[in-house]
Amino acid sequence: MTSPGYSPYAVARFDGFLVFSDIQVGMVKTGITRSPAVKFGVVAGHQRHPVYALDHLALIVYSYCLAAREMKLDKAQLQVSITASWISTEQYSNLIAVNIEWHTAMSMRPVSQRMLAGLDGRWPVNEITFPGQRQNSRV
Amino acid sequence: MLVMIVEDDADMSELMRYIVSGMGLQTEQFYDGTSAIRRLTNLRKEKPSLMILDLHLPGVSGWDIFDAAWKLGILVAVVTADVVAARKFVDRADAVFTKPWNTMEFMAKLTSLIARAEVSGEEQEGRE
Repeated sequence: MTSPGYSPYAVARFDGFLVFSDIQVGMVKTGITRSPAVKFGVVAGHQRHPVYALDHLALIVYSYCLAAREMKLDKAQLQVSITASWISTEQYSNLIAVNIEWHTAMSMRPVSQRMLAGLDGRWPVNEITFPGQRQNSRV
Repeated sequence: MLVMIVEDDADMSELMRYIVSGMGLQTEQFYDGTSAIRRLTNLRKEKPSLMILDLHLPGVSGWDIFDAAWKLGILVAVVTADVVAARKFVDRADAVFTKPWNTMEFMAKLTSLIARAEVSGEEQEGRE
C-alpha cells in the first residue's frame, strides 16, 4: 500500500449486514490443493452482494455466523465493513474479501472465538466454485 | 507490497508479472536461482512479502530458494510443471500450482495470501 486508504488494484469497500443465515461453506480448488472458503451475501442498501473469503478469513466469517446463530441475532445485526478485491477475467468478476471489520457487540467476540476454536479439523469438504472457474482457461 | 517472481521461462515470468502487477503489486523478476538467492540475502532492499517460485531453475535450485524464503517469513506460492515435486510442497508451501494453471484460482489464492501478508505486514519475523 502506498498510503492509507489508497489501493492501486481494483478494490470494493462497502458497509452492510452479513446474511449469516445463508452462507455456503466448503473448499475451493486452488492449484493442486484446496482452500477453506465461504460464500456469503452482504446486504448494502437494496442490493445483496456475493462475496468470497478464503483460508483464515473464511474460518473467521464462518465462526461469526455460527456465533450469530447461537446468539439468535436478528438478520440485520451482523454489521460489517468489507474490503474486497475484484478478480476478473473477460467474462466473470468475483469479489474476494481481503479484510472485514466487525461492528458487533463485544459479547459476540468470545462466542465467535469459541466457535473458531471448535472448527479445528471439522471444516465442510463440499466443493465451492467461483463463477467462471471451470470455464476459465488455463495458462 | 513486493512480489518476487522466480521463473526461468521468460514468457511465463512475463505472464505472472502481468497478472500480479495488474493486482497493483510491485514485482521483481528473477530468471535463475543464483540471482534470486542473492536478492534474498540483500537486507538493504525491501523485504518481499510474497514469492512465486518455479522449482527447476538454473543455478541455485528452487528447493534451496524455498527454504531461504521460508526462513525469512516470505509467503511462497510454488508454481511448477513437475507434478511429483509439487506434491512434496503441499504441506509446506503457502500455495501450490502446477502448470498449466487456472488464472481465476491463481488470482483468488494470491488475494488470500496478500490479505495474510497485509495482516502480518508489520511483523518482520522469520519462520522456523
